[in-house]
Amino acid sequence: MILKLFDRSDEKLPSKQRGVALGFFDGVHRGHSDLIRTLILNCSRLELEPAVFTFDEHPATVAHKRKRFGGYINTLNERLQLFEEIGISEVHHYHFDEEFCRLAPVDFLNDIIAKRLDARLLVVGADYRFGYKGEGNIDTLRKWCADHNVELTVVPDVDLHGQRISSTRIRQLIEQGDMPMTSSCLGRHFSLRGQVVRGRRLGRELGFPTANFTVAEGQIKPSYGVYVTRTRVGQRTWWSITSFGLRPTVSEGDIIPMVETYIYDTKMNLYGQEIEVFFLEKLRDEIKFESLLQLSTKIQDDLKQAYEWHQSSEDSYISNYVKDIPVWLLQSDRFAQGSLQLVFQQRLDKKNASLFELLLQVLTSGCRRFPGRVELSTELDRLYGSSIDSNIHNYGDIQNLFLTVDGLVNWTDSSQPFAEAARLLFDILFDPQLDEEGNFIEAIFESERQNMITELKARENDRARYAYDRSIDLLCGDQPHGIRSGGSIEELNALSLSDLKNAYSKLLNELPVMVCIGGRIDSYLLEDIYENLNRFPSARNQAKFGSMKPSALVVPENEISLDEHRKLEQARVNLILTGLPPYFSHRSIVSSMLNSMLGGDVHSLLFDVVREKMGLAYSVYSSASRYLAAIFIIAGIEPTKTEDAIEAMKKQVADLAAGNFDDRLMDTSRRMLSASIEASHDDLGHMVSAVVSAVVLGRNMSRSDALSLLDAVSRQDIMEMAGMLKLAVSYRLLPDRMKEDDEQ
Amino acid sequence: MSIIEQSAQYGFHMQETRDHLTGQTLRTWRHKSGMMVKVLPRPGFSKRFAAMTVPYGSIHQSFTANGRRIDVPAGSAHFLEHCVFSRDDEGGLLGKLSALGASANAYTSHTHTMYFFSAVHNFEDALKLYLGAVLDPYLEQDRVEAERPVILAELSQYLDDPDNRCYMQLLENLYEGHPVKQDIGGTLDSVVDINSDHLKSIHSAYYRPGSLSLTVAGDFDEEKILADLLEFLPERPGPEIIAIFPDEPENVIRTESQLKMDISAPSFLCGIKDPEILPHKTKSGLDLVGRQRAARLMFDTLLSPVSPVYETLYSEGLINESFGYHYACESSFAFLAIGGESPEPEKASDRLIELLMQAVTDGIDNKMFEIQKRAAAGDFVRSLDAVEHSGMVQAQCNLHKVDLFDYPLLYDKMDAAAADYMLSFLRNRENYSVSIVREQ
Repeated sequence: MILKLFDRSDEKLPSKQRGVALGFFDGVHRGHSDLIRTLILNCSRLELEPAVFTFDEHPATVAHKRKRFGGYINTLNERLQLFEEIGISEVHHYHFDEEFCRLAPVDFLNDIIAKRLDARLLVVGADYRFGYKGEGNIDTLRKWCADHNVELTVVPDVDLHGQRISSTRIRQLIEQGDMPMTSSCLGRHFSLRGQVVRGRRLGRELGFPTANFTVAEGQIKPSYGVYVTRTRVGQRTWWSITSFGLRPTVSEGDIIPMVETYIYDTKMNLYGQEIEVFFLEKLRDEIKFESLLQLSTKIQDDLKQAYEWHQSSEDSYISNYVKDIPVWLLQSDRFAQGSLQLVFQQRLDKKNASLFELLLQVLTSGCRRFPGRVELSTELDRLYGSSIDSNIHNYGDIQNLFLTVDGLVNWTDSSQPFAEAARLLFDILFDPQLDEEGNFIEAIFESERQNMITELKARENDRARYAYDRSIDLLCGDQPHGIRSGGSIEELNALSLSDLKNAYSKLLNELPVMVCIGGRIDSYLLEDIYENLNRFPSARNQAKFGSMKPSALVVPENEISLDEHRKLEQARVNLILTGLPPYFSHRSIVSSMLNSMLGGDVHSLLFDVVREKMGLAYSVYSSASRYLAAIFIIAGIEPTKTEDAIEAMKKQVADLAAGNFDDRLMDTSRRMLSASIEASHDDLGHMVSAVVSAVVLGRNMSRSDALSLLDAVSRQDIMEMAGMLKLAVSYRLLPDRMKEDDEQ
Repeated sequence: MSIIEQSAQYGFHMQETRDHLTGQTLRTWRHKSGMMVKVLPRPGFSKRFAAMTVPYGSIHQSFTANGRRIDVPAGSAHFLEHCVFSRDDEGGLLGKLSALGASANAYTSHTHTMYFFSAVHNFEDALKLYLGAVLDPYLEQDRVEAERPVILAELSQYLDDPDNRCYMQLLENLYEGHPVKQDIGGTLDSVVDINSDHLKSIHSAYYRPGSLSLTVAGDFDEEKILADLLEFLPERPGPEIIAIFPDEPENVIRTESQLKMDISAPSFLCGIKDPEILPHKTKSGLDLVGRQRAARLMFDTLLSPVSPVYETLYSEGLINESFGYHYACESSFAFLAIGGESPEPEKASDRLIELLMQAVTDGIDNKMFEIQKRAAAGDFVRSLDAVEHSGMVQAQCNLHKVDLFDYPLLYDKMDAAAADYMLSFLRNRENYSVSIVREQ
């Protein structure tokens, strides 16, 4: 995706209808991110071009000159880059000058939003103000939008750790040096970029050479002191420690603060290069020492402390880009095993669902070095039971293809099973079993295809699975969101060897890909991974991983009800309720809580009331589908009681919406969800998957952030969200005998 | 005063072992009442896990306690497990545990019942609450009547499950009188017969502190847990309980059977009865666990994706990735079940038996056996990365009075020749039976 930029001087814009997000978006923080993703999602529903309208200068620097403005969190270029990362391909950025400042709100809307941008959708934050003296507000917008047939979406603020996230709050946090909270609010670490200049080489003389640069004019300055940092040089990111300030011990009288960064474990000549320093945690304030010896001694302490911080931190980050493929690293000393996930992404359709699953099956059946399942499995067993797996998870209409490897990092015989297994994974990917003409081997292709067909047929054996699949069909209709993993038998039968070859070529050359590696990963292993990633073709034409966004599911306007009959003992009932917030929203935590209260656990209403008290079902539970923005109620019920059970299920939802629930239910749900958030770092595989999910969601969340969001969920939030739920699908799978009874 | 000294005052005796592969520690606390507590400390992890192992499962339908014979209907163990989870207006036991943030569950197997939970906070409180419920449940007839429909609904759900039906049909083929052939939940008829007296008899015989064991894994105050236990522990062990089983022939009862259901993909299971373990030829302790572990290596060598058997069946399109195998080996029964989905289940089972018997005749591949030992050792170390998993495995080990850390030692000692000797039951075609579920 190439970002298209337009300013006031561009006389003619491409003619298209747009959805437009309005705001300055300094920092592009969590709240901004929710807003822009809402724009993209709604534009996919309305078939509009999503665009951001913003300014080069912050209005406060022009309209409120007397007010203190701490500085920009991002430069304009950084801001544009962040828009692009979220998925925006068109930005309209205007100079906010005196002339613009005097523009009346309605003139702004008529002249720019309507005439120039042809906007059909506007997306703004709850506190959005615009026009001369900020006279335009949400009410002005509402009226204007209603008059001009423009859809308006007001995206709620995000509250975190007890306060609303805003650019102003983040500026204050940076100025206070509160980097963990800054990271929480931004959703990523605050960074400064600059070109390295020659300093006084004092650090080099003291044994720790630093890369130095000054902060761009107008940009926010962190409080003076010493920070644990990471530093990106070119494509790679290194552990580092950074002093930011005026260096009073050695440069008395300096007034321009300097970023001075020492990078661990590498020696590079960085003069003239642009580097980016990520601020993770402040260690101490800047101090004026009496002597260089005192300074040197303190720096030694700082170096040790920062290094220990890096070693013990389990914060994931992109350690390198190899051929533009991001390699996320999650260091942890708590596990004996290592875990690596290689994830590809593409838009889901019926053919791809079958084709790419078959491709992964064929690839993981062997490679040239270990041809055949027996050889491959034997080698993995020899590597102390390491495992290589492939699987596909669909997120809405996005297909994510996973190749994963797990294994012990070290063994007592000094071998490194995980490293060897990871190499094997790359062999599977880059050096598969092919015939002399470079085609996949027909016998393997046929065998894997037949096995997939048997597996698809067997899905219907499982009554609960069958009922689930059928209800998804009813909800999604022909939309790709409902395509099952593995696709269909018809699609599988239609595939050819050349389809497979083309898919393989697409996988290597075109699909966006990311890597995440977790565990006790040393530099040798990491270099090995980088080297293997270099086996991807050089001329890869990939979009950035995560830039492809799931589109909105268009839900049926009216409730769809269907009864089916089969030979079975127990009836199955599935209800689908739509109306949850979109997949990326920070309000998803309310969905989780609502689901937990409704049927997500054994203390829930469905379990306690419908099963235990009313005895209407043996199994009854609910689950929230993030990407379908829906809650599923799933139950196995004695066939004569299905109608009573459905009424009882609906009543539980209505009770939640009406506030007819006691606080204990909410407290218990909060406690259960809190435990599951806290325990999420107990499993390495889960942690690595969470990194991948965060990239797909575009939302990185520490455990404390997630707990803070959970703590803030109120009774009102639950009632409002339950009130938004709408029954979209009601599906019953009933015994044949009931049909016969009805007919008689 | 050290934890050991203090705990000695409470009547506990401690033994500590360290795993040589991982350096992890396991502490065993034995109380004079007979209760055993296993502690797997896991500093740095949030989740804490506890499991109570009761050595009473679905096969224990007859036993003597204090010299008196007691017979209970099939499904009683499972019924009792349900009843431990009391109900009341506050959500019952599960609701109270959830209110503490504890996620609790339980299962009943052929040989034991396991009550377990995990929690991040309030671990000690949840443990006391759960242990109290297990040791002193409400088992009056009104409770039994309230639970009965839920259990009947559960059983009727299993009737729709072709995999379960195929498995139960196989057990019917293999066993004549051993209660292992019955569903763990019992039958629709036997569940109707279960009453309060049955459950109380079981509880007073098997649910005593001296019979059950507790396993805890995670990062917690060990001393507090031991001190909290005291209120539940009597001074002396209880009487010995002896399980009674009917005689069971060595041969299978039927060589094949087939069931038709409303399904889309047929499946098969091939079962091989192991006549080395029967009610009159029981095994226990390290002897039993050694056999279980050796069997794992053997069957991984013979049947996993590394094996020619698997490869041949897979490449011939007779099996898919659902193919699996399970060697059930307990003190009074043992059998191997192998199978999965297949477009041609008869052909698949015939071919499987042919290939398996050929492989057994050819003998175990030494090199492959050694590779399987490496895989098993690696699996063991990996499993210790997960608090819940390692806790659960130890809780199951308690039944046989062995430790999780005995596993690597057992693997070290095994050789292919000894394992090969154990395979003799696979060489006799008369030990084989096939169960097929087909579409109508």
